[in-house]
Amino acid sequence: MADAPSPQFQVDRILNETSVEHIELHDELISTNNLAMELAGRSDLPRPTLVLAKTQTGGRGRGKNQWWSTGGSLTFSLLTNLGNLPGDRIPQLSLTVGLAICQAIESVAPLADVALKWPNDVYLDGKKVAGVLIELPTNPPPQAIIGIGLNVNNSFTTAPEELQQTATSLCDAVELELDINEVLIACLQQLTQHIDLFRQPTASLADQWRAYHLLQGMEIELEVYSKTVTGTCVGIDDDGALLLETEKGTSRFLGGVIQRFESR
Amino acid sequence: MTGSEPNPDEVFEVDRIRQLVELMEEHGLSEIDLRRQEQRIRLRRGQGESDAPQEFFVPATPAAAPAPVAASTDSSQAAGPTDGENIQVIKSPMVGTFYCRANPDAPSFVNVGDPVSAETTVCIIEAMKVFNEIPAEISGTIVAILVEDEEPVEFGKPLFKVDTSK
Repeated sequence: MADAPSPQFQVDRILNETSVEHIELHDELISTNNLAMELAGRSDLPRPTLVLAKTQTGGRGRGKNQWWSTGGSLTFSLLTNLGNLPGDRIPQLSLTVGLAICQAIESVAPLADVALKWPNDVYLDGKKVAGVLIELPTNPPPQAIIGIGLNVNNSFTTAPEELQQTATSLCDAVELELDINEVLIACLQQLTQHIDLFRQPTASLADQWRAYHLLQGMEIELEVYSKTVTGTCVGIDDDGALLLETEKGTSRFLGGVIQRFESR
Repeated sequence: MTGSEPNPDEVFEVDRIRQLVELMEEHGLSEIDLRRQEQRIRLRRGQGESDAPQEFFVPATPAAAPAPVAASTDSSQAAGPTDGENIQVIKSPMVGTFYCRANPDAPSFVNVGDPVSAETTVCIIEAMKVFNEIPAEISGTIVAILVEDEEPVEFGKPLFKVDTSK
């Protein structure tokens, strides 16, 4: 994979053009979410606080999954107040954030074929371009740490064939190097807009999740608590649950890991 | 009431399960699903197709498991009474998967015998890749852990027992 130089972030521009109140910029971090977790206990820091790393060496995903970032990729965590959300709406935050990243990508690459893979992976031209890890710390007030890894200028054109089949970057899709500050600002603006909407008790983004849903109509293998469930994806319901048509009828899932998916 | 005394209202009580199994056999039933307030038991008989759940986060009673299980072998036995007026229960605030540690390599947030305060993180509940740290919200000592690591939990499912007198 081509290893682009580390991005040069324009802190003043980010502060001016987004709702971010404070930026923690580091040349290298193990994980932006880890630092954001530490900062979550700091009541003296304004929210939203942005944790930004030029290079992230140990970005986390679910379980032991790691987000591999190289020069040219965008890795950041947003520490933001969440308000008092009822427990049953919290999972929907995943889809909300994924949707925001989809629309941020569209705003900088209008012709991009962007899709949301339940619950929050973002795909571009059928390959993964961004991952999301959301953590809700115990420290009051209710707040969220939204960790994003987005491939921007780290091209996969010279990556091993196997990786090229599953991952891509924005620069590969538009065949141009992008202004990484512009991409970051678009992400932050969309995140703010979508989270503000999500905080409203009566708001529903369900139609938009469904409009971007990658898995619609696909054959899915979902690992659920050490079992594998196979079925056809028939949508996402208003609560954000994945709907699978199985031999036993339609089942809804608020958890599980998608192991495989393919068009019928 | 102490932890060793049977509670006639406890749906997970072993004799109750035995009776249910006998009833199922007697009447050829393939499934029984009982609920009382926040407790639920579902028993199934027969050769199993891969029994894909209609709902993912049903409380885990695919077989006649006798009760919520302590998360580790060194758990409640040494912790003294797990019922009584000083015992309070920490319940799951949401549907999801219970994690007793921050990541696979980390130690458990709490163990039986550990003191907790209101702000102490006792576990993570994950749903749809949102990892929600759960605070104890009460002060005391953990006397029982009622779910296993990575077990699916429903809203309101009891997770921990805390002795608030300690």
